Parts: sequence; structure tokens; C-alpha cells
Amino acid sequence: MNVERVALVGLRSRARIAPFRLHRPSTIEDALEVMASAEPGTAAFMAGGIDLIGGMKAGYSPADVIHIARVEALRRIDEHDGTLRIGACATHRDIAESELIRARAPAVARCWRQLANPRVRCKGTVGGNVMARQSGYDATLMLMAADAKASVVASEGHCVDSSIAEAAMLQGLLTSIHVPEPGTLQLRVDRSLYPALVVVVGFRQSKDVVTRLHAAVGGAQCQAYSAPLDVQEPVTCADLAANAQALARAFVSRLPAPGDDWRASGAYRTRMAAVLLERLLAQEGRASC
Amino acid sequence: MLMSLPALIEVACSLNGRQRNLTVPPHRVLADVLRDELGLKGCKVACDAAVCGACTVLVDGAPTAACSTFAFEVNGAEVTTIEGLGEPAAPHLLQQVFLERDAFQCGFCTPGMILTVEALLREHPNPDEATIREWLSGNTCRCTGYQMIVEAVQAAAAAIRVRDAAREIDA
Repeated sequence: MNVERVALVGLRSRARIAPFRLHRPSTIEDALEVMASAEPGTAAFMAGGIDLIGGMKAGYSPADVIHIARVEALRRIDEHDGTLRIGACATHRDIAESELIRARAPAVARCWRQLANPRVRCKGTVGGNVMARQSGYDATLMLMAADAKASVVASEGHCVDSSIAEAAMLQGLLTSIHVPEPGTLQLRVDRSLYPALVVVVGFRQSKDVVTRLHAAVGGAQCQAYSAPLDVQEPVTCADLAANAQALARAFVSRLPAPGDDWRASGAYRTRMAAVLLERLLAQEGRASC
Repeated sequence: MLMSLPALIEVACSLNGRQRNLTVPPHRVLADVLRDELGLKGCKVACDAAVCGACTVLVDGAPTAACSTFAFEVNGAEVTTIEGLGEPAAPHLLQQVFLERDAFQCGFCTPGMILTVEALLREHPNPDEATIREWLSGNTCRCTGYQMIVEAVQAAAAAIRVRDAAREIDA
């Protein structure tokens, strides 16, 4: 690299990506074996790699990169005991185009078709989205609102089931995401203030009765937060539309206080979280009635 | 323990229809290999963050940010850059339509735009305006305001349909 180029590199650049040892395992067991034999904290799993490479351009320098995108077992999408299982290395496009998901969880397929842009959908993976720990990533928020769970295999080989939020904190390999009762799931997403704020609501419906409501809010300077909404079950769709404001305000009152940045103040984010959530609830109530 | 791979790795891929065997360090991104080692300067790098779309190439037909893809990832894949689509003497239909419709000004974003549109039209031969705009949402143009590009895509889609219908009649 010549002097002129170094001067242009700045704080974040592909020219800053440090050399690493590349491993290309073909099974989950091999991937875990490589991770277990690496110095703690010096190896990274790579699936689509968009966030990992972004981090490496900013100075993150794992000594070992374990490329797992072609581990077939991590790309599988199937249904087991009424739960949809999505392999962590399934790309967003795989999810949007999966015949099983389109048939059994049309709301998931529809939302994933609208995720980010085609380039990200083709390369980005659902597991990478979760493990990136970016609170504004809408795939992670949609999974939270869908009551999804994550399976993580620790280096010792035992499997841990966790919430989506906890999965990114666990040491191990995220292998799959589980969406319960996919057929009853409806998802509504408001990205109109992205990246400052993203609001998602997951509904479980039976005819015109909502049996479960779960919301998730995230964004820049917002800690991702998800929780069930306070409803007396069952709620009719008319009740949902009529009580949208109260439900939204009660949910937002529990949000961790968002921070300020150049996009918006924390107070504005909180206010708009209530407005967007109320809107989504009212829309769903009216649509279902 | 698995043996780590050597410092340089072999990458065999089809590049613009021609089989290539490359030897690259694992940390080298595809954009640098294309531009600096193979002279394919149509792959532009602007944001270097997989956001602007200037570095878009097609990997197995899928639009891909070459600035955020390691070269080793295309091992066994079919890679298409703007140079593989057409050439000045014989431009691809999309390139021709972009020229005729003035769908660019400075031209920096145009290779990425055209490759994204190529992928779009393979998937949606008759896209509506919303679909076109959604597909182009990952490609930033600071000159045109996008309207001319959207019109060019619509014109290209129509031209492809006419061409394909003519081929069917001939057949």
C-alpha cells in the first residue's frame, strides 16, 4: 500500500481489513470444533458477512474467520411440531421465497420480501441479522414480535434455546430460529422513521379474535425492546381498534429511554413509538373487522 | 483441530462467461480483485459499506455488493460485471436503453444500476413502478433524481418483451 493510499484510508475502509485464517467447515460439528480450538474471543463465524466485513473495515480483526454460509444444515427451512424452523444461514431471500413459509406463514414471507433491498436480501442471513446486535434491524424486531426463539449450540455441543434478544449474547453457534404457530401469525411493520425508529406488532388471530399481541421497538439510539401488550384475552378486532391508543401508550411507558442523536431526540422517538404503534394496532383492528 | 487454510487461497469462478482461477488472500474483497487485479474498473467503490450500490456485481445472478464480499466467497460461482454485459461496439439492450433515455449524468452509479436492473428483469419481466423503485432502493444516484432511470427500466422491459415475442414467432 503506498503512502497516498494510506492517507485516504481514514478510520473505516476495506484497506483496514486485517489478514485472517480462513476456515470453511461443511458441518456444524466442524464449525464448532474450529471455534473451540481458537483462542477465546479471536474467532468469528461468518455467514453473509455484511456486518462482519463492515466491522473489519472499522478495525475488528479476528484471527480466524469460520465461513459457515455453505453449511447445508444451517440453511434448512422446515416445520416441526407446528413450529417453523429457519436455519440461521438462510438468507432473507430464502425466507421470502420458501414455498413452505409462503404456504404456512404468509405474513413472514411478505415481510421478508420487503426487507432492506435486494442486495441485502440475497446475501444477508437471518442469523447474521440477529447476531449483529443492531437494535434497528427489522428482521430481528420482526422475530421478536413473532415470539420466535433461537437455538444456539455451545462449543461443548449442548443446545440452548433462548429468546432472540439473548441469542446474540450467548457463546456458541446460532443454528436456527423457531417461529411458533406460524399459521396464526400476522405481522405489521412501520419503517417510516427508519433508521431512527422501527415498530413491529405480531398478532395471533383466530377468526376475528386476537389471542396474542406482541410488539417490538428498536432503532438507532433505541435499545431493542419487545414485550406482549397488556390485553384482556380474547380481544375482538373492534376492541383492538378502539383501545389502540391506550395499549400503545401503556407499552411505550415501559420502553427503555431512547437516546438523542442527529436524527431525533429521545423524547421524539418515544412519542413516535406510541404514535406508530397505535397506528399499527388500529390498522390491524380495522382490517380484521 | 481442523487445519487452517493457507495464506493464499485458490478461487475458481466464471467471470463474465470465462473460467478464471485466481489466487487471493482471504481478506481481499471482490471489488479490489476485480478492479486492481483484473482491471474491471466498471465495479465502482463509493460508500465502501454495502449501501450505495455502486460496486454491484451479479453473483450467480444475484446483485451483490463487491465491496462487502470477500473474493473467496465467489469460489464456484458465476460472476458478471458490467464489462460482461456488453461492450461499446455491441452494448447490451439495457445499456442501449440507458443511453437512449439519458438515464444517467455522471455515470458513476450506472454500472451498479444496470446490473441491478438486469437481475430485476430476470425475476420480474414486467415490473410495475413500485417494484422498480423498490429494487433500485439500494442504488444511490446523486444526479438524476431516478425518474429517467425508472423510465429506462420500463422501456427496457417493454423492449425485452417485444424481442422475446419476436423470437417466439421466429421459432
